[in-house]
Amino acid sequence: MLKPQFTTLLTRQDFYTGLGVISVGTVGLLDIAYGNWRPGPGLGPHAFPQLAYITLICAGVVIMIEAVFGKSDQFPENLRAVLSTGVALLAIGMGMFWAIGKLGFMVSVCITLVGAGFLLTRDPLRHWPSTIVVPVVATGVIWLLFVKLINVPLPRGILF
Amino acid sequence: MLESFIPALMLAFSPEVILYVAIGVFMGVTLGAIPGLSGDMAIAILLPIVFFLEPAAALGLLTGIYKGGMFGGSISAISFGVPGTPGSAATAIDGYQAKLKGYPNKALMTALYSSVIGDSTSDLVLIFLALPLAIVALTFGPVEFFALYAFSLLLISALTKGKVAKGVAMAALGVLLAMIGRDPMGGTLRLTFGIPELAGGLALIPVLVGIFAVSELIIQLSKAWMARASRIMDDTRQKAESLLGDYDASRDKLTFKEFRSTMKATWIGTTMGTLIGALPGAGSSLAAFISYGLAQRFSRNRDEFGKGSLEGVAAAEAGNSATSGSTLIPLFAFGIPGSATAALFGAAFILMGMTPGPRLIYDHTEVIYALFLILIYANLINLILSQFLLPFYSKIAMIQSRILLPIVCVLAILGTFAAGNSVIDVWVLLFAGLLGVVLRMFNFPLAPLILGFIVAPGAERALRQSLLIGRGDWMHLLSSPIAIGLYTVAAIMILTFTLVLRDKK
Amino acid sequence: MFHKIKTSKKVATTAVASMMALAPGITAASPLSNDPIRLVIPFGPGGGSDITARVLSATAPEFCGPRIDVVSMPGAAGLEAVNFVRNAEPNGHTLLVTDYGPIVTSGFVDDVDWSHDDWQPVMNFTEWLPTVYTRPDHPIQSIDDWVAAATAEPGSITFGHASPLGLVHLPLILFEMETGLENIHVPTSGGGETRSLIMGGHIDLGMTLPPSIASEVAAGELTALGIFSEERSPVLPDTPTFREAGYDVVLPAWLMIFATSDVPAEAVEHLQDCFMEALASPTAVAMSNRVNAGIEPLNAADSTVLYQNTVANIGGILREIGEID
Repeated sequence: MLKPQFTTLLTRQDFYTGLGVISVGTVGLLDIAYGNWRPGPGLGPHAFPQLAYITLICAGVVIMIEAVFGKSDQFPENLRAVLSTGVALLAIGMGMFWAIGKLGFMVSVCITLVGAGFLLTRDPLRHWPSTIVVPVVATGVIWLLFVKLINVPLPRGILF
Repeated sequence: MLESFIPALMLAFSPEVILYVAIGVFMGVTLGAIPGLSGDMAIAILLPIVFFLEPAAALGLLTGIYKGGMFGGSISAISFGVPGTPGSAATAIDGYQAKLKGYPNKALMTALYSSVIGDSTSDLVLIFLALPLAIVALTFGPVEFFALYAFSLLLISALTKGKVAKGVAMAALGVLLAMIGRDPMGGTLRLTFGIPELAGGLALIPVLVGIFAVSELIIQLSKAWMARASRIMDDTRQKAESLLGDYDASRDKLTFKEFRSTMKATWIGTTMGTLIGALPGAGSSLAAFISYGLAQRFSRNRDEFGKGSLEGVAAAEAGNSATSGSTLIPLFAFGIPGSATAALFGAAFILMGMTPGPRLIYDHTEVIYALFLILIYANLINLILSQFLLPFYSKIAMIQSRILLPIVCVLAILGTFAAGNSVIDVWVLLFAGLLGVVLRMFNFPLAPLILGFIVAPGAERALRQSLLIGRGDWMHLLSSPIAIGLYTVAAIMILTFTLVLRDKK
Repeated sequence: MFHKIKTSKKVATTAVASMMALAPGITAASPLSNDPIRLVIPFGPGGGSDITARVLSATAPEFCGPRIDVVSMPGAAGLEAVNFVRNAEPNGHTLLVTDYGPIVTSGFVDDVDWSHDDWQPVMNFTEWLPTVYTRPDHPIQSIDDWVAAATAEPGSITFGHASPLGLVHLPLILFEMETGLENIHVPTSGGGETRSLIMGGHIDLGMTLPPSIASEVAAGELTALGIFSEERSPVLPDTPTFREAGYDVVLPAWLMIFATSDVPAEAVEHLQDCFMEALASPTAVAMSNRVNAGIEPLNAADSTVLYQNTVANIGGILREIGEID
């Protein structure tokens, strides 16, 4: 039989995961109780969110109980590295989108791809076919697909 | 009847029409493989073409795109873990694991065969059983739909890889994400955090591509970045080479025995996909998830699911593709478009001067018979053409990740933008990607989130409509035999499976 | 296929070129540049507005000069399309094609940074007449049946409509305000769902626009009870209006092309002229008939009157039911 293990509890990831899940549910329920929710036809707009919050709290409690009994996933490795890549990607993606309006479609997509190739490749100039030629060709194909064929209503930049 | 069949035959098999179908399949497979872009979107873009083309040729092109797109989504789902279309999200679960285990080709072939089997069956049902099935579909009102959605939530546990509590939490989170925006029943805003752009809610494509695809891309990119930063490139190159060395193309061929072992899953998927596709408003991604869940329940190798099971790929892909014919049933039988795709086909009919509905087949017998023939043989073209294309696309998937990943990222962003011409969708995509990374890092299964997100709007609408129609009486939910049947099956399934599982232990 | 499109485009351009040679005045005086004109619709592709706009985009280039693209932007419940047009350069190349929902109703109930005066109508395509319908084996088969049933037992009739406060919901509210009747309002996800609920016997009545049910009504598969308009619909000639039945409830919808109010007057005038001319051409008339769009264009001045009336009407209803102050 599994025995509750309280001493190492604070080192287990799922203890915190459960706590996080419960707090999201609690905040949500408080919002429904005190926030500005208008009534609506048939149960009202708050019924389903309320159900979801209650489910979250229950699931969180179960996750914590499981953590107490030693069933927990490992702390993620390199969480920080992955998250910072995520944020960087977010920034690059938004930057590219913004640049499309300023510089134009072809230029920004090409710069993004070449830049990414340089970032991810060691000694990028030695690998020039893959860091420069491939992105340029890819840009051409993407341009054909999105601008010529699909005709997306992108804001126009000063260049292409 | 027969006198119009011969001209329809001539029409459907004229070289021009066959060419258009082939071009359509090629475009569909290619566009479907790009995350964010789907066959629906390609059809929407090409709608004006029906002004310029003969009806049969135009319908051939659209049919080809649609069928190609249905399968194309699974190429990127299997190759990168990045579902190309909403319907292929369930395919990604096992398909990507199969690729990581070193047999992408087996998974792709399984996907192709089950897709074609599901699709063809569904087309035959459309042609021969449209009216009876449509009448069954009409008996589905809010009460029955709520029972169906409640039934489908049962399958969460099948998608959780043993982490049921976390899976349930994810489904609840998916429900909450779906609640963002204007309450569809009362019109009031909820959970928009004061951002007016969220009034319309979150669209399916950015959430799905973000949660599944962008998060996967972020993690792979960070690996590529760390590989470079920590200067262990020689090390990784060795690893990469050994991976390629391990990859034995001759062993990665789908044998007939394996193909036969997936047949049960394929037929489960085909049946569920055809039935759910015929219901107005249920959708192909729901069909894929339900098929996947049921196939897992009834599989002999249940433990393989989630770890690269070919059965899982077959069930999901058959379920997804089997909606393609039957989704047109309500359109043909009553002129009711049951899905986005059916609405687009309806618009194409209208643009050609044909009103969708029961009169369609009498008023335009030749074209409709030709369409039926095209629906059937387009599957064959899809099968043959994809056999040729797959080696190519697999090679693309083998390109070094440092080059391929940025391109896939850019495609995902642009594809999501193009799907709704919406900047907000791009924001949602990126934030969903970040959310997906965090959830992956904390070992939450992602499929239940998508299931919750897909099911919630329909379930909420159905429940609240039922209560309005039943004047607030909860017993109204049990007023229909179909609903009672669904609840009973659900209860029996829970009971038997808990008992069976206990026996195993 | 790309070749095919190219060739058909080529044919079209040659046709355009020869036309222009015949009528050099149009392009010479055009205040528009050669950039394409974008007709932005706040709905998904495949619906009535999309189809109607496509008739214009297929026929108008030879009269207006540049190419015309239909762009569908359903994001943020249509507000994204409205904002896209509003933020575009005011040169007449980016136009909004919409019914009154995303512009009149949203202008009242949503938190937007524009007012109704920031828009000027360029042209009106058509008037859409909200129509109440049911299945033929339902006991209610006329407006009088409905009123009698609702009076006998208030709140007993279920009425399906698409999104709340939309084109096919506001007329019901107005009708209930006028008559004091009570019905159960059942919001649905759209016309398709309303129709399957009615045909499946799950709800009693529903509202839609005439073209989508005309052929079923003619075949006897659906019954149209009445229309909320001044005159009968040309595609449903046997269906009475509510005014004929003695209830003065009229709330037609329209499909209008808007420009922002800072677009120069000569550009708007040019667009109005060439759009009207294009829609009067035999190709456009044939196309409009084929797709059942019922296009009856109104010029900018008449459209403005219609627009302002609608703003006043909708504002009145929303104030009455307490949605806005």
